[in-house]
Amino acid sequence: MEPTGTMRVPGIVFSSAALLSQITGDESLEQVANVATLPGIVEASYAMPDIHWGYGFPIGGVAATDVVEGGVVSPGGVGFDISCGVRLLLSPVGLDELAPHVETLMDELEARVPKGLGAGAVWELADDAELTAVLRDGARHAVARGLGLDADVARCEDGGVMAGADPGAVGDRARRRGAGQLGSLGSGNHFLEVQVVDEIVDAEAAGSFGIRPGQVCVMIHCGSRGLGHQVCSDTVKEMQSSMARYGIVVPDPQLACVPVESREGRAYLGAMAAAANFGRANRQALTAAVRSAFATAVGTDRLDLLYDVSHNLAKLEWHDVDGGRRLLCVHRKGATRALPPGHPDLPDDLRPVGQPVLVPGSMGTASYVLVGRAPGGAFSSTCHGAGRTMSRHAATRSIRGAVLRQQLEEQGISVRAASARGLAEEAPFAYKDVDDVVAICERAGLARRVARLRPVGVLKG
Amino acid sequence: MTALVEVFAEVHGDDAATRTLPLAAEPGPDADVLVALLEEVIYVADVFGAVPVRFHVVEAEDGGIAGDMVVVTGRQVELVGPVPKGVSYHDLEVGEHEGRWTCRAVVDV
Repeated sequence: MEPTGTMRVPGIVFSSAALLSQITGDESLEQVANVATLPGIVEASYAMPDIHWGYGFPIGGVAATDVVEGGVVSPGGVGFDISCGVRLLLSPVGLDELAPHVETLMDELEARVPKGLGAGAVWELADDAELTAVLRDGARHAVARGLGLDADVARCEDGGVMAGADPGAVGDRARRRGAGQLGSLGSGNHFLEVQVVDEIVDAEAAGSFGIRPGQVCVMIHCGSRGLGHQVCSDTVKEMQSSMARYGIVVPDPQLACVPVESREGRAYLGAMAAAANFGRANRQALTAAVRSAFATAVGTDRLDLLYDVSHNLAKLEWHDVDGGRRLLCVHRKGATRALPPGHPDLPDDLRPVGQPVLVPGSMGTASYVLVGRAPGGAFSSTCHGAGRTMSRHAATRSIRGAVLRQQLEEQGISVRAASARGLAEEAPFAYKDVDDVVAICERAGLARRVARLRPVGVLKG
Repeated sequence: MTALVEVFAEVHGDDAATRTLPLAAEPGPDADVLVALLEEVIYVADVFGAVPVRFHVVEAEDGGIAGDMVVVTGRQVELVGPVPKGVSYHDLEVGEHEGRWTCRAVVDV
Protein backbone atom coordinates (compact mmCIF):
# COMPACT_ATOMS: atom_id res chain seq x y z
CA MET A 1 0.00 0.00 0.00
CA GLU A 2 1.43 3.35 -1.10
CA PRO A 3 2.06 5.96 1.60
CA THR A 4 -0.92 8.23 2.21
CA GLY A 5 -1.64 10.81 4.86
CA THR A 6 0.90 10.53 7.70
CA MET A 7 2.45 7.26 6.48
CA ARG A 8 6.22 7.70 6.17
CA VAL A 9 6.84 4.46 4.24
CA PRO A 10 4.68 2.07 2.23
CA GLY A 11 2.93 -0.92 3.71
CA ILE A 12 3.96 -4.30 2.28
CA VAL A 13 1.94 -7.40 3.10
CA PHE A 14 3.14 -10.81 1.96
CA SER A 15 -0.06 -12.69 1.22
CA SER A 16 -2.36 -14.23 -1.36
CA ALA A 17 -5.83 -13.27 -2.54
CA ALA A 18 -7.29 -16.12 -0.51
CA LEU A 19 -5.52 -15.21 2.74
CA LEU A 20 -6.26 -11.51 2.28
CA SER A 21 -9.96 -12.31 1.97
CA GLN A 22 -9.77 -13.79 5.48
CA ILE A 23 -8.60 -10.56 7.08
CA THR A 24 -10.87 -8.03 5.43
CA GLY A 25 -12.79 -6.34 8.20
CA ASP A 26 -10.42 -7.15 11.06
CA GLU A 27 -8.56 -3.81 10.66
CA SER A 28 -5.13 -5.45 10.47
CA LEU A 29 -4.35 -3.71 7.16
CA GLU A 30 -5.24 -0.40 8.79
CA GLN A 31 -2.78 -1.34 11.52
CA VAL A 32 -0.04 -1.87 8.89
CA ALA A 33 -0.73 1.69 7.71
CA ASN A 34 -0.69 3.03 11.28
CA VAL A 35 2.70 1.44 11.96
CA ALA A 36 4.01 3.19 8.84
CA THR A 37 3.52 6.54 10.65
CA LEU A 38 6.05 5.79 13.39
CA PRO A 39 8.98 8.21 13.64
CA GLY A 40 12.16 6.88 12.06
CA ILE A 41 10.56 3.92 10.31
CA VAL A 42 12.52 2.81 7.25
CA GLU A 43 11.84 0.87 4.08
CA ALA A 44 8.30 -0.35 4.81
CA SER A 45 5.76 -1.47 7.39
CA TYR A 46 5.80 -5.18 6.67
CA ALA A 47 3.33 -7.93 7.46
CA MET A 48 3.71 -11.67 7.08
CA PRO A 49 1.11 -14.01 5.51
CA ASP A 50 -0.23 -14.93 8.96
CA ILE A 51 -1.17 -11.30 9.62
CA HIS A 52 -4.12 -10.64 11.86
CA TRP A 53 -5.37 -7.95 14.20
CA GLY A 54 -3.27 -7.12 17.26
CA TYR A 55 -2.95 -4.33 19.84
CA GLY A 56 -1.58 -1.39 17.85
CA PHE A 57 0.78 -3.38 15.65
CA PRO A 58 -0.76 -6.21 13.67
CA ILE A 59 0.33 -9.68 14.64
CA GLY A 60 2.68 -10.74 11.87
CA GLY A 61 4.11 -7.23 11.68
CA VAL A 62 7.73 -6.24 11.11
CA ALA A 63 8.88 -2.63 11.41
CA ALA A 64 12.38 -1.20 11.70
CA THR A 65 13.31 2.29 12.85
CA ASP A 66 16.59 4.11 12.36
CA VAL A 67 18.15 4.49 15.79
CA VAL A 68 20.46 7.36 14.88
CA GLU A 69 17.71 9.31 13.10
CA GLY A 70 15.45 9.41 16.16
CA GLY A 71 13.73 6.13 15.40
CA VAL A 72 11.39 4.84 18.07
CA VAL A 73 10.88 1.68 20.02
CA SER A 74 7.30 0.62 20.75
CA PRO A 75 6.28 -2.12 23.21
CA GLY A 76 3.25 -2.71 20.98
CA GLY A 77 5.66 -3.78 18.25
CA VAL A 78 6.91 -6.56 20.52
CA GLY A 79 3.66 -7.67 22.07
CA PHE A 80 2.45 -8.40 25.56
CA ASP A 81 4.24 -11.73 25.67
CA ILE A 82 7.83 -10.60 25.33
CA SER A 83 9.98 -13.23 23.63
CA CYS A 84 7.11 -15.59 23.13
CA GLY A 85 8.84 -18.20 21.04
CA VAL A 86 9.26 -21.77 20.01
CA ARG A 87 11.82 -24.48 20.50
CA LEU A 88 11.97 -27.88 18.81
CA LEU A 89 13.51 -30.94 20.46
CA LEU A 90 14.54 -33.88 18.27
CA SER A 91 14.32 -37.36 19.80
CA PRO A 92 16.21 -40.51 18.78
CA VAL A 93 12.98 -42.51 18.45
CA GLY A 94 10.56 -42.97 15.61
CA LEU A 95 6.79 -43.11 15.76
CA ASP A 96 6.70 -46.93 15.69
CA GLU A 97 8.87 -47.05 18.79
CA LEU A 98 6.82 -44.31 20.53
CA ALA A 99 3.37 -45.64 19.63
CA PRO A 100 2.91 -48.08 22.56
CA HIS A 101 3.99 -45.35 24.98
CA VAL A 102 2.11 -42.28 23.71
CA GLU A 103 -0.55 -42.19 26.42
CA THR A 104 2.00 -42.84 29.15
CA LEU A 105 4.20 -40.09 27.74
CA MET A 106 1.29 -37.65 27.66
CA ASP A 107 0.42 -38.58 31.25
CA GLU A 108 4.02 -37.97 32.31
CA LEU A 109 4.13 -34.65 30.48
CA GLU A 110 0.84 -33.57 32.03
CA ALA A 111 2.16 -34.42 35.49
CA ARG A 112 5.45 -32.59 34.96
CA VAL A 113 4.41 -29.50 32.98
CA PRO A 114 2.42 -27.04 35.07
CA LYS A 115 -0.40 -25.32 33.30
CA GLY A 116 -3.39 -23.35 34.43
CA LEU A 117 -4.28 -21.37 37.51
CA GLY A 118 -2.06 -21.82 40.55
CA ALA A 119 -0.36 -24.81 38.98
CA GLY A 120 3.11 -23.80 40.05
CA ALA A 121 6.23 -24.23 37.99
CA VAL A 122 9.02 -26.67 37.21
CA TRP A 123 11.67 -24.43 38.75
CA GLU A 124 11.23 -23.18 42.29
CA LEU A 125 13.55 -20.22 42.56
CA ALA A 126 15.69 -19.99 45.70
CA ASP A 127 15.09 -16.30 46.22
CA ASP A 128 14.70 -12.95 44.50
CA ALA A 129 18.42 -12.86 43.77
CA GLU A 130 18.04 -15.99 41.66
CA LEU A 131 15.23 -14.36 39.69
CA THR A 132 17.64 -11.51 39.01
CA ALA A 133 20.17 -14.05 37.74
CA VAL A 134 17.53 -15.50 35.40
CA LEU A 135 16.66 -12.05 34.07
CA ARG A 136 20.34 -11.39 33.44
CA ASP A 137 21.52 -14.78 32.17
CA GLY A 138 18.44 -16.46 30.70
CA ALA A 139 18.76 -20.04 29.51
CA ARG A 140 22.44 -20.10 30.51
CA HIS A 141 21.48 -19.75 34.16
CA ALA A 142 18.93 -22.53 33.81
CA VAL A 143 21.59 -24.83 32.38
CA ALA A 144 24.04 -23.81 35.11
CA ARG A 145 21.36 -24.92 37.62
CA GLY A 146 21.14 -28.35 36.06
CA LEU A 147 18.12 -27.81 33.81
CA GLY A 148 19.84 -28.64 30.54
CA LEU A 149 23.00 -29.00 28.53
CA ASP A 150 25.62 -26.61 27.19
CA ALA A 151 24.55 -27.81 23.77
CA ASP A 152 21.07 -26.39 24.45
CA VAL A 153 22.46 -22.92 25.01
CA ALA A 154 24.47 -23.10 21.79
CA ARG A 155 21.27 -23.75 19.84
CA CYS A 156 19.31 -20.84 21.37
CA GLU A 157 18.96 -17.51 19.61
CA ASP A 158 21.57 -15.20 21.13
CA GLY A 159 23.21 -18.12 22.89
CA GLY A 160 20.26 -18.23 25.28
CA VAL A 161 20.96 -14.78 26.69
CA MET A 162 19.83 -11.48 25.22
CA ALA A 163 22.48 -8.85 25.74
CA GLY A 164 21.62 -5.57 27.41
CA ALA A 165 19.22 -7.03 29.97
CA ASP A 166 18.56 -4.73 32.91
CA PRO A 167 16.88 -6.64 35.74
CA GLY A 168 16.56 -3.34 37.64
CA ALA A 169 14.22 -2.05 34.95
CA VAL A 170 11.73 -4.83 35.65
CA GLY A 171 9.15 -3.60 38.15
CA ASP A 172 8.20 -5.30 41.39
CA ARG A 173 4.78 -6.43 40.18
CA ALA A 174 6.33 -8.05 37.13
CA ARG A 175 8.88 -9.85 39.30
CA ARG A 176 6.19 -11.10 41.68
CA ARG A 177 4.07 -12.37 38.76
CA GLY A 178 6.99 -14.22 37.25
CA ALA A 179 8.60 -15.58 40.40
CA GLY A 180 6.34 -18.62 40.58
CA GLN A 181 6.03 -19.26 36.85
CA LEU A 182 9.46 -20.30 35.70
CA GLY A 183 8.85 -23.57 33.93
CA SER A 184 5.15 -23.28 33.18
CA LEU A 185 3.16 -23.37 29.96
CA GLY A 186 0.52 -20.67 30.26
CA SER A 187 -2.73 -20.74 28.34
CA GLY A 188 -4.18 -19.15 25.22
CA ASN A 189 -2.37 -20.45 22.15
CA HIS A 190 0.58 -21.81 24.10
CA PHE A 191 1.21 -25.52 23.93
CA LEU A 192 3.58 -28.43 24.13
CA GLU A 193 3.21 -30.91 21.29
CA VAL A 194 4.65 -34.33 20.64
CA GLN A 195 5.05 -34.42 16.87
CA VAL A 196 6.32 -36.71 14.14
CA VAL A 197 8.21 -35.68 11.01
CA ASP A 198 5.59 -36.18 8.32
CA GLU A 199 7.40 -34.92 5.23
CA ILE A 200 10.93 -33.89 4.31
CA VAL A 201 10.89 -31.01 1.82
CA ASP A 202 14.58 -30.10 1.78
CA ALA A 203 16.57 -33.28 2.36
CA GLU A 204 19.94 -31.57 2.53
CA ALA A 205 18.89 -29.00 5.13
CA ALA A 206 16.95 -31.62 7.08
CA GLY A 207 20.01 -33.82 7.18
CA SER A 208 22.12 -30.93 8.45
CA PHE A 209 19.53 -30.22 11.16
CA GLY A 210 19.32 -33.88 12.20
CA ILE A 211 15.73 -34.30 11.03
CA ARG A 212 14.65 -37.60 9.49
CA PRO A 213 11.29 -39.04 8.34
CA GLY A 214 9.11 -40.50 11.08
CA GLN A 215 11.22 -38.96 13.82
CA VAL A 216 9.49 -38.01 17.05
CA CYS A 217 9.95 -34.39 18.10
CA VAL A 218 8.64 -32.10 20.81
CA MET A 219 7.66 -28.51 20.09
CA ILE A 220 7.28 -26.02 22.96
CA HIS A 221 5.50 -22.71 22.39
CA CYS A 222 5.39 -20.24 25.26
CA GLY A 223 7.00 -17.05 26.48
CA SER A 224 7.76 -14.84 29.43
CA ARG A 225 4.45 -15.43 31.21
CA GLY A 226 3.12 -12.83 33.63
CA LEU A 227 6.48 -11.12 33.99
CA GLY A 228 6.68 -10.16 30.32
CA HIS A 229 3.04 -9.12 30.22
CA GLN A 230 3.52 -6.83 33.20
CA VAL A 231 6.64 -5.25 31.68
CA CYS A 232 4.61 -4.46 28.55
CA SER A 233 1.65 -3.08 30.52
CA ASP A 234 3.88 -0.92 32.72
CA THR A 235 5.81 0.44 29.74
CA VAL A 236 2.84 1.20 27.49
CA LYS A 237 1.24 3.15 30.32
CA GLU A 238 4.42 5.13 30.99
CA MET A 239 5.11 5.82 27.32
CA GLN A 240 1.59 7.12 26.74
CA SER A 241 2.46 10.04 29.01
CA SER A 242 6.17 10.41 28.23
CA MET A 243 6.02 10.38 24.42
CA ALA A 244 4.48 13.87 24.38
CA ARG A 245 7.86 15.16 25.60
CA TYR A 246 9.31 13.98 22.30
CA GLY A 247 6.54 15.49 20.24
CA ILE A 248 5.22 12.08 19.24
CA VAL A 249 1.58 11.54 18.39
CA VAL A 250 0.33 8.09 17.39
CA PRO A 251 -2.97 7.02 15.79
CA ASP A 252 -3.50 4.22 18.33
CA PRO A 253 -2.68 4.27 22.07
CA GLN A 254 -1.16 0.80 21.81
CA LEU A 255 1.46 2.27 19.42
CA ALA A 256 2.89 4.35 22.29
CA CYS A 257 6.60 4.81 21.62
CA VAL A 258 9.67 6.86 22.44
CA PRO A 259 13.03 7.31 20.72
CA VAL A 260 15.30 4.31 21.13
CA GLU A 261 17.99 6.76 22.24
CA SER A 262 15.99 8.14 25.15
CA ARG A 263 15.94 7.33 28.84
CA GLU A 264 12.56 5.63 28.49
CA GLY A 265 13.59 3.80 25.33
CA ARG A 266 16.74 2.41 26.88
CA ALA A 267 14.82 1.42 30.01
CA TYR A 268 12.24 -0.49 27.96
CA LEU A 269 14.89 -2.31 25.92
CA GLY A 270 16.67 -3.29 29.13
CA ALA A 271 13.46 -4.59 30.69
CA MET A 272 12.46 -6.28 27.44
CA ALA A 273 15.77 -8.11 27.24
CA ALA A 274 15.39 -9.22 30.85
CA ALA A 275 11.90 -10.52 30.10
CA ALA A 276 13.25 -12.24 27.00
CA ASN A 277 15.80 -14.01 29.18
CA PHE A 278 12.98 -15.12 31.46
CA GLY A 279 11.17 -16.57 28.44
CA ARG A 280 14.24 -18.46 27.31
CA ALA A 281 14.82 -19.80 30.81
CA ASN A 282 11.14 -20.78 30.93
CA ARG A 283 11.42 -22.90 27.81
CA GLN A 284 14.70 -24.38 29.10
CA ALA A 285 13.02 -25.44 32.35
CA LEU A 286 10.18 -27.04 30.39
CA THR A 287 12.80 -28.88 28.32
CA ALA A 288 14.08 -30.47 31.52
CA ALA A 289 10.55 -31.65 32.28
CA VAL A 290 10.18 -33.08 28.77
CA ARG A 291 13.44 -35.02 29.03
CA SER A 292 12.35 -36.41 32.39
CA ALA A 293 9.00 -37.47 30.97
CA PHE A 294 10.67 -39.19 28.01
CA ALA A 295 13.07 -41.02 30.28
CA THR A 296 10.18 -42.47 32.28
CA ALA A 297 7.80 -43.23 29.44
CA VAL A 298 10.08 -44.01 26.51
CA GLY A 299 13.37 -44.99 28.13
CA THR A 300 15.54 -42.17 26.81
CA ASP A 301 16.10 -38.52 27.69
CA ARG A 302 18.38 -37.84 24.71
CA LEU A 303 16.39 -35.10 23.07
CA ASP A 304 18.53 -32.60 21.18
CA LEU A 305 17.54 -28.97 20.82
CA LEU A 306 17.38 -28.00 17.16
CA TYR A 307 16.76 -24.31 17.87
CA ASP A 308 14.96 -21.86 20.15
CA VAL A 309 13.77 -18.63 18.57
CA SER A 310 11.49 -15.75 19.54
CA HIS A 311 8.66 -14.29 17.51
CA ASN A 312 7.89 -11.31 19.76
CA LEU A 313 10.95 -9.13 20.13
CA ALA A 314 12.71 -5.89 19.21
CA LYS A 315 16.38 -6.20 18.35
CA LEU A 316 19.07 -3.71 17.46
CA GLU A 317 20.50 -4.94 14.16
CA TRP A 318 22.64 -3.60 11.33
CA HIS A 319 20.99 -3.67 7.91
CA ASP A 320 21.63 -2.15 4.50
CA VAL A 321 19.08 0.57 3.79
CA ASP A 322 19.23 2.86 0.74
CA GLY A 323 22.81 1.83 0.06
CA GLY A 324 24.11 2.49 3.54
CA ARG A 325 24.67 0.40 6.66
CA ARG A 326 22.30 1.50 9.43
CA LEU A 327 21.58 0.51 13.01
CA LEU A 328 17.91 -0.33 13.19
CA CYS A 329 15.50 -1.26 15.95
CA VAL A 330 13.72 -4.16 14.28
CA HIS A 331 10.33 -4.96 15.81
CA ARG A 332 9.02 -8.45 15.09
CA LYS A 333 5.59 -9.08 16.58
CA GLY A 334 4.30 -12.48 15.58
CA ALA A 335 7.16 -12.71 13.10
CA THR A 336 10.35 -14.74 13.30
CA ARG A 337 13.90 -13.79 12.57
CA ALA A 338 15.25 -15.94 9.71
CA LEU A 339 18.99 -15.50 9.30
CA PRO A 340 20.49 -16.65 5.99
CA PRO A 341 23.44 -19.02 5.56
CA GLY A 342 26.73 -17.45 6.51
CA HIS A 343 25.31 -15.03 9.05
CA PRO A 344 27.80 -14.44 11.88
CA ASP A 345 25.09 -14.63 14.56
CA LEU A 346 24.46 -18.30 13.81
CA PRO A 347 26.20 -21.11 15.72
CA ASP A 348 29.16 -22.59 13.84
CA ASP A 349 27.41 -25.84 12.94
CA LEU A 350 24.29 -24.09 11.60
CA ARG A 351 26.02 -21.23 9.80
CA PRO A 352 26.56 -23.08 6.49
CA VAL A 353 22.86 -24.03 6.35
CA GLY A 354 21.00 -21.03 7.71
CA GLN A 355 18.84 -20.46 10.76
CA PRO A 356 16.08 -22.95 11.59
CA VAL A 357 12.69 -21.23 11.79
CA LEU A 358 9.99 -22.99 13.79
CA VAL A 359 6.41 -22.37 12.70
CA PRO A 360 3.65 -23.96 14.76
CA GLY A 361 0.37 -24.43 12.94
CA SER A 362 -3.00 -24.40 14.59
CA MET A 363 -3.82 -27.18 17.06
CA GLY A 364 -4.12 -30.53 15.41
CA THR A 365 -2.66 -29.36 12.12
CA ALA A 366 0.88 -29.32 10.78
CA SER A 367 3.87 -27.38 12.02
CA TYR A 368 6.93 -26.56 9.95
CA VAL A 369 10.67 -26.25 10.16
CA LEU A 370 11.87 -23.60 7.72
CA VAL A 371 15.36 -22.24 7.08
CA GLY A 372 16.50 -18.69 6.50
CA ARG A 373 17.72 -17.87 3.03
CA ALA A 374 19.64 -15.16 1.24
CA PRO A 375 18.83 -12.44 0.54
CA GLY A 376 15.59 -12.90 2.48
CA GLY A 377 13.35 -9.93 3.08
CA ALA A 378 11.71 -7.71 5.67
CA PHE A 379 15.02 -7.47 7.56
CA SER A 380 15.50 -11.26 7.55
CA SER A 381 12.05 -12.05 8.87
CA THR A 382 9.35 -14.57 8.14
CA CYS A 383 6.07 -15.81 9.57
CA HIS A 384 5.51 -17.27 13.04
CA GLY A 385 2.37 -19.41 12.79
CA ALA A 386 -0.98 -19.81 11.14
CA GLY A 387 -2.67 -16.58 12.26
CA ARG A 388 -6.21 -16.32 13.60
CA THR A 389 -9.15 -15.77 11.27
CA MET A 390 -11.86 -15.97 13.92
CA SER A 391 -12.21 -14.46 17.38
CA ARG A 392 -11.99 -16.66 20.44
CA HIS A 393 -15.60 -15.93 21.23
CA ALA A 394 -16.74 -16.96 17.75
CA ALA A 395 -14.71 -20.16 17.98
CA THR A 396 -16.38 -21.19 21.25
CA ARG A 397 -19.79 -20.52 19.71
CA SER A 398 -18.89 -22.83 16.82
CA ILE A 399 -17.68 -25.87 18.75
CA ARG A 400 -17.56 -27.25 22.28
CA GLY A 401 -14.25 -28.24 23.77
CA ALA A 402 -15.40 -31.81 24.38
CA VAL A 403 -16.42 -32.24 20.74
CA LEU A 404 -13.13 -30.84 19.51
CA ARG A 405 -11.19 -33.14 21.83
CA GLN A 406 -13.07 -36.12 20.40
CA GLN A 407 -12.36 -35.01 16.83
CA LEU A 408 -8.65 -34.68 17.57
CA GLU A 409 -8.52 -38.05 19.26
CA GLU A 410 -10.25 -39.63 16.27
CA GLN A 411 -7.37 -38.25 14.22
CA GLY A 412 -4.98 -40.09 16.51
CA ILE A 413 -3.99 -37.02 18.55
CA SER A 414 -3.92 -37.42 22.32
CA VAL A 415 -5.15 -34.23 24.03
CA ARG A 416 -4.52 -32.86 27.52
CA ALA A 417 -6.07 -29.41 28.15
CA ALA A 418 -6.56 -27.26 31.22
CA SER A 419 -10.03 -26.07 30.18
CA ALA A 420 -12.62 -27.02 27.60
CA ARG A 421 -13.21 -23.42 26.56
CA GLY A 422 -9.51 -22.83 26.13
CA LEU A 423 -9.42 -25.86 23.84
CA ALA A 424 -12.40 -24.66 21.77
CA GLU A 425 -10.84 -21.22 21.35
CA GLU A 426 -7.89 -22.90 19.65
CA ALA A 427 -9.97 -24.87 17.14
CA PRO A 428 -8.11 -25.36 13.86
CA PHE A 429 -10.85 -23.66 11.82
CA ALA A 430 -10.18 -20.44 13.76
CA TYR A 431 -6.80 -20.16 12.06
CA LYS A 432 -5.38 -19.79 8.56
CA ASP A 433 -3.99 -22.82 6.74
CA VAL A 434 -0.35 -23.02 7.80
CA ASP A 435 0.53 -24.85 4.56
CA ASP A 436 -0.61 -21.75 2.64
CA VAL A 437 1.22 -19.39 5.00
CA VAL A 438 4.60 -21.09 4.68
CA ALA A 439 4.18 -21.59 0.93
CA ILE A 440 3.76 -17.83 0.54
CA CYS A 441 6.82 -17.19 2.70
CA GLU A 442 8.79 -19.50 0.44
CA ARG A 443 7.49 -17.93 -2.80
CA ALA A 444 8.30 -14.48 -1.40
CA GLY A 445 11.86 -15.58 -0.71
CA LEU A 446 11.61 -15.05 3.05
CA ALA A 447 12.47 -18.61 4.07
CA ARG A 448 12.51 -22.12 2.66
CA ARG A 449 10.56 -25.18 3.85
CA VAL A 450 12.65 -27.98 5.35
CA ALA A 451 10.19 -30.37 6.99
CA ARG A 452 6.54 -30.72 7.85
CA LEU A 453 5.57 -32.10 11.26
CA ARG A 454 2.23 -33.43 12.47
CA PRO A 455 1.03 -33.78 16.08
CA VAL A 456 0.44 -37.03 17.96
CA GLY A 457 -0.06 -35.43 21.39
CA VAL A 458 -1.08 -31.94 22.50
CA LEU A 459 -0.69 -30.43 25.97
CA LYS A 460 -2.51 -27.12 26.36
CA GLY A 461 -2.85 -24.65 29.18
CA MET B 1 -14.05 -7.41 37.56
CA THR B 2 -16.71 -10.04 38.20
CA ALA B 3 -17.20 -10.44 34.47
CA LEU B 4 -13.46 -10.88 33.97
CA VAL B 5 -13.40 -13.68 36.54
CA GLU B 6 -16.32 -15.40 34.82
CA VAL B 7 -14.26 -15.58 31.62
CA PHE B 8 -11.82 -18.05 33.13
CA ALA B 9 -13.01 -19.44 36.47
CA GLU B 10 -15.98 -20.84 38.32
CA VAL B 11 -16.05 -21.31 42.06
CA HIS B 12 -17.94 -24.28 43.44
CA GLY B 13 -19.26 -24.78 46.95
CA ASP B 14 -20.19 -22.34 49.65
CA ASP B 15 -17.49 -23.43 52.05
CA ALA B 16 -14.48 -22.48 49.95
CA ALA B 17 -11.53 -21.24 51.95
CA THR B 18 -11.13 -17.54 51.48
CA ARG B 19 -8.74 -14.75 52.27
CA THR B 20 -9.08 -11.01 51.91
CA LEU B 21 -6.60 -9.02 49.88
CA PRO B 22 -6.33 -5.25 49.50
CA LEU B 23 -7.54 -3.57 46.35
CA ALA B 24 -6.45 -0.13 45.21
CA ALA B 25 -6.14 2.13 42.19
CA GLU B 26 -4.50 5.51 41.93
CA PRO B 27 -6.62 8.51 40.95
CA GLY B 28 -6.83 9.13 37.25
CA PRO B 29 -9.11 9.01 34.22
CA ASP B 30 -11.87 6.44 34.55
CA ALA B 31 -10.36 4.27 31.81
CA ASP B 32 -7.01 4.08 33.62
CA VAL B 33 -8.76 3.18 36.87
CA LEU B 34 -10.67 0.44 35.07
CA VAL B 35 -7.41 -1.00 33.71
CA ALA B 36 -5.81 -0.87 37.15
CA LEU B 37 -8.71 -2.74 38.79
CA LEU B 38 -8.85 -5.41 36.08
CA GLU B 39 -5.10 -5.85 36.45
CA GLU B 40 -5.65 -6.58 40.15
CA VAL B 41 -7.71 -9.64 39.17
CA ILE B 42 -4.93 -10.78 36.84
CA TYR B 43 -2.27 -10.12 39.48
CA VAL B 44 -3.86 -12.26 42.20
CA ALA B 45 -4.44 -15.06 39.70
CA ASP B 46 -0.77 -15.11 38.75
CA VAL B 47 0.78 -14.50 42.16
CA PHE B 48 -1.58 -16.41 44.45
CA GLY B 49 -3.40 -18.73 42.05
CA ALA B 50 -6.51 -17.09 43.48
CA VAL B 51 -9.83 -15.96 42.07
CA PRO B 52 -11.74 -12.98 43.50
CA VAL B 53 -15.37 -13.75 44.38
CA ARG B 54 -16.44 -10.54 46.13
CA PHE B 55 -15.31 -6.95 45.83
CA HIS B 56 -15.65 -4.05 48.23
CA VAL B 57 -14.79 -0.80 46.48
CA VAL B 58 -15.03 2.79 47.67
CA GLU B 59 -13.66 6.09 46.47
CA ALA B 60 -10.51 6.98 48.38
CA GLU B 61 -9.77 10.41 49.84
CA ASP B 62 -7.31 11.15 47.01
CA GLY B 63 -9.92 10.35 44.41
CA GLY B 64 -8.58 6.90 43.67
CA ILE B 65 -10.07 3.56 44.61
CA ALA B 66 -9.62 1.71 47.88
CA GLY B 67 -11.10 -1.49 49.15
CA ASP B 68 -10.54 -5.18 49.24
CA MET B 69 -11.49 -8.41 47.57
CA VAL B 70 -12.28 -11.83 48.91
CA VAL B 71 -10.39 -14.50 46.98
CA VAL B 72 -10.60 -18.24 46.74
CA THR B 73 -7.91 -20.77 45.92
CA GLY B 74 -7.71 -24.52 45.61
CA ARG B 75 -10.06 -27.26 44.60
CA GLN B 76 -13.16 -25.13 44.63
CA VAL B 77 -11.87 -23.18 41.65
CA GLU B 78 -12.52 -24.70 38.23
CA LEU B 79 -10.65 -23.30 35.28
CA VAL B 80 -13.20 -22.76 32.51
CA GLY B 81 -11.15 -20.64 30.11
CA PRO B 82 -7.67 -19.24 29.48
CA VAL B 83 -6.30 -17.16 32.35
CA PRO B 84 -6.04 -13.49 31.34
CA LYS B 85 -2.60 -11.96 31.28
CA GLY B 86 -3.00 -8.26 30.46
CA VAL B 87 -5.45 -5.46 29.67
CA SER B 88 -5.07 -3.55 26.40
CA TYR B 89 -6.05 0.04 25.70
CA HIS B 90 -7.86 -0.93 22.51
CA ASP B 91 -11.50 0.28 22.49
CA LEU B 92 -11.23 0.90 26.22
CA GLU B 93 -14.38 2.60 27.41
CA VAL B 94 -16.05 3.55 30.67
CA GLY B 95 -19.17 5.64 30.66
CA GLU B 96 -22.70 6.29 31.72
CA HIS B 97 -25.40 5.44 29.20
CA GLU B 98 -29.11 6.04 29.88
CA GLY B 99 -28.61 5.95 33.63
CA ARG B 100 -26.40 2.86 33.66
CA TRP B 101 -22.64 2.55 33.91
CA THR B 102 -20.97 0.33 31.34
CA CYS B 103 -17.39 -0.48 30.54
CA ARG B 104 -15.55 -2.35 27.85
CA ALA B 105 -12.00 -3.69 27.78
CA VAL B 106 -10.07 -6.09 25.58
CA VAL B 107 -8.13 -8.56 27.70
CA ASP B 108 -5.15 -10.50 26.47
CA VAL B 109 -4.98 -14.22 27.11
